[in-house]
Amino acid sequence: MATLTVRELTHGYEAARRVVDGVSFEVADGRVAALLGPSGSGKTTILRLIAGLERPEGGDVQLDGASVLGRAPHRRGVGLMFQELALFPHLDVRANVAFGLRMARWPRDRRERRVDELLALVGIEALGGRRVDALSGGERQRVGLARALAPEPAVLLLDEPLGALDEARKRELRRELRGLLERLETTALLVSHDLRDAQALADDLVALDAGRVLQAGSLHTVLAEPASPEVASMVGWVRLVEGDARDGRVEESGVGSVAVPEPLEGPVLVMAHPSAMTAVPTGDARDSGARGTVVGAQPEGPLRVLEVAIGALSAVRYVEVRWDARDEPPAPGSPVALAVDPATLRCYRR
Amino acid sequence: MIGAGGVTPSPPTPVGRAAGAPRAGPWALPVLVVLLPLLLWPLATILWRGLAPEGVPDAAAIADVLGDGYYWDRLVFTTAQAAASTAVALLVGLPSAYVFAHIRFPGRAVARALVTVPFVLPTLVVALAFQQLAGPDGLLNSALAWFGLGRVEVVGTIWAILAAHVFYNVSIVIRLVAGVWANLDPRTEEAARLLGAGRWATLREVTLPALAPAIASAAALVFVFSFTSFGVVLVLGGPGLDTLEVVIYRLAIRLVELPAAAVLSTVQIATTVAVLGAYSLLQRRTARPLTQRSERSRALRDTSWAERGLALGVAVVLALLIVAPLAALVHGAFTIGASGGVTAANFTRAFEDPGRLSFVEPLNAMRWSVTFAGGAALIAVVLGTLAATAIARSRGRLAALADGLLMAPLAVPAVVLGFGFLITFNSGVTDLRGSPWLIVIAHALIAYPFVLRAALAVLRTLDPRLPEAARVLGASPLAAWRYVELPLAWRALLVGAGFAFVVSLGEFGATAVLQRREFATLPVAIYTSLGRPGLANLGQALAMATILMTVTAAALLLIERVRYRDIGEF
Repeated sequence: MATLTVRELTHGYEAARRVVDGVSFEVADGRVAALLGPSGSGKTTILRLIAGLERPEGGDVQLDGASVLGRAPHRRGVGLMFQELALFPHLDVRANVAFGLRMARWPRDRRERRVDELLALVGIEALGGRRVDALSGGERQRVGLARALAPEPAVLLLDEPLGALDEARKRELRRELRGLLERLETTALLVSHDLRDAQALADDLVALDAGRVLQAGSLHTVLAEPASPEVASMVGWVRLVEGDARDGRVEESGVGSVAVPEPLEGPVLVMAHPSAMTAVPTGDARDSGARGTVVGAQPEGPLRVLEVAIGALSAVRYVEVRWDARDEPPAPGSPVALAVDPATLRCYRR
Repeated sequence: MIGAGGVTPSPPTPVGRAAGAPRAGPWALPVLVVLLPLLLWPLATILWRGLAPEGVPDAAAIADVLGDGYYWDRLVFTTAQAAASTAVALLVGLPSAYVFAHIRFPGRAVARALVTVPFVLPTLVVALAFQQLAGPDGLLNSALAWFGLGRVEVVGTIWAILAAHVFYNVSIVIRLVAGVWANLDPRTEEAARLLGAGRWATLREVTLPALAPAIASAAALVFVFSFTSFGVVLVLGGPGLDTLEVVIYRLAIRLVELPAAAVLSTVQIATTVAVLGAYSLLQRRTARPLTQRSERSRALRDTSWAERGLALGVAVVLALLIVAPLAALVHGAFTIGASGGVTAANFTRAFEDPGRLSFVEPLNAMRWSVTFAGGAALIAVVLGTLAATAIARSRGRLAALADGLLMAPLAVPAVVLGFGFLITFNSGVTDLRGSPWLIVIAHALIAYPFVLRAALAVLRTLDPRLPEAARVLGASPLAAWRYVELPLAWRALLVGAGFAFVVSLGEFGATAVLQRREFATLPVAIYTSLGRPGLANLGQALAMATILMTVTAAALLLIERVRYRDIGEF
């Protein structure tokens, strides 16, 4: 296990089209970090740069403080689980898992023991002799993971580890993968476009957009205190009001006026997390002052969730919030008030 | 989760040029180091001899050759017969392609295998087969006599040549066109019908345009093969019916009129390069419709009566065209010299030492044939694998250039190649006059495009992440190739090696120029026997041709079994 340090990493020939543009972050020994960002933000490229499958134009990749840029991919000691898995179609499950051990010239008996151990670890002991193209999606995922883990890589890179699975499988595998990473104490870096993967698996989060790091920090810090509106919206926050702050309130026409926790003046953007908001009838005591229009309602268990449009046409945004009242929710097109604890809001100067 | 700020699933990242990814250069280099001296040096020598016979460029000498009525007539004939062969091959091949692509009929698998056989049969075998079928004493005339009809003179006329060329090339047309036709999405035709197009309008407006690139590639290949035809024309041609290849052979083995041979070689290569250049452009366009195949298009349609009639017609024509001459050959081998019965004497004689110095010993020829074929296949596999890897790993224009350059041997006619060797490797350290090595090298160069094509087809479909995955798991570039790419491609290499072996076994053009009696091959032995008078010699030639036919056909059917579906775009 090792500490992975990425310093000022740059990739892409022209400055205008940098896929990765001065990316720096560190994954401490034994921690699991997630790279989160929209498609095209350079996540996969960063993994390929770390693995040595691409050569960076600038910057450095270090394991335990020593640069590994000069080392070919097969000498880096980095494990990579590809998004499409890239299982070897001509080898069975065991031989796929054993591949890295053969390359490292492990003696046969040790190799066999290690393969058994890994198949058990990912729960596919029974599949050792199967052809890889006869496996289900979840089984393939497990083989890919076992194969990457087998040679005991210093750092494990996971590219969309829960990629093309259906929702139920994803939840199951996510839980297992978390248990596994905790037990193995592997330094791991995973790439995902799905915040839920990062929430379930990672200790640390690196928010990425257009090849740049927007924010890096512990998972909780980034989710609870996003450093910018971009990061905030990436981790699920929505714009509540945007306008000039005066006397502890911010007002936006078409939305209303909301009390903010900080004594601010000047142009401000106030963001809220849907989990800290509820929809209430207008005039309710909990009304924060922000109003929206009901777009639709859907039952969720015993409750209902409202889809609410906030803001005037040119700046409309949608949010799904719990309807927090016993009566029928208002019909689509009706106004609705939003209740929110001012302490949970985030304010950004514009 | 709500309003997750434009986070959408990311599509697979396209894999571009990568640092850890394999590069083309190290693979292409060894091939070019071998190819350039062995191919381009002889060609340059030919060019130089042709354009500057006295050491200085001499336009008058070229004009002399091209202005000579005799050579001019040969050029016109060569072109005309190639064009006619192409037209007839398409005429027979296109309906056959339709039948193979769309109609279910009993014995379809057998017919498919049968149709692929002619392509690899040695030219001399085919020429002899047609001679036995349509010659003065052939089966055709015996049959006509039995019906009380008059005799026909076919051998020694253009018709025999055309028939043999169509025999060969129908399989190319069927292979290239049926593959694309079977994969056309039938819904485009259905859409055309619903939009008011009739059967013929649909064929003209929708189907043929989609097939055009495949048809054009087939036509280009057939034209080149017929244009450079040698063995068939040498045996079946008559007075005035010589292709340039035959003329060059006659000039070259007598080692006279070298400038004329050189000028004619240059004309030939210019033609094949131009036509194959067009072919390779079209090949790239043919690749497109194949990506749009749908599951439905794979199903064979239910057949109407008209289609059954067509299938029957095609079956009869193909049987007459392919089976009849081969049957005539075998018939001749077992009956000639037997005065009305069946005899194995011709075959016994095919394994006997004639005991005369001027004769080629058949058993010796068989040994040399197998030796050359083995050596050529080995070299071809090494060169072909390297070249295919290089092409598969290069991108864009570089790939097109590499493809063209590495496929170059295909554009050099066999006799011209032999002739080039003859006038190039004859002095100093490269004095290889009378060396069997020249034949091995020539065969390897002629056969290696087959390995290249077969290997390339597989390497191009290989997921580039597989070798990358191996690299990350600790495999060096060589180990990644050895443990991942090679195991996935070995069947294709085996198919290519088999093709190379068979092509070398039957090769006659370059061998005829480069052979010596001590290391003559089986085709040379057949040709020598044929040139001598007497039924015994003819019978021996037929027996050897039958053996050669059996071996190549068996090898091809073996290859077909190893081949995966749809390897071999060629």
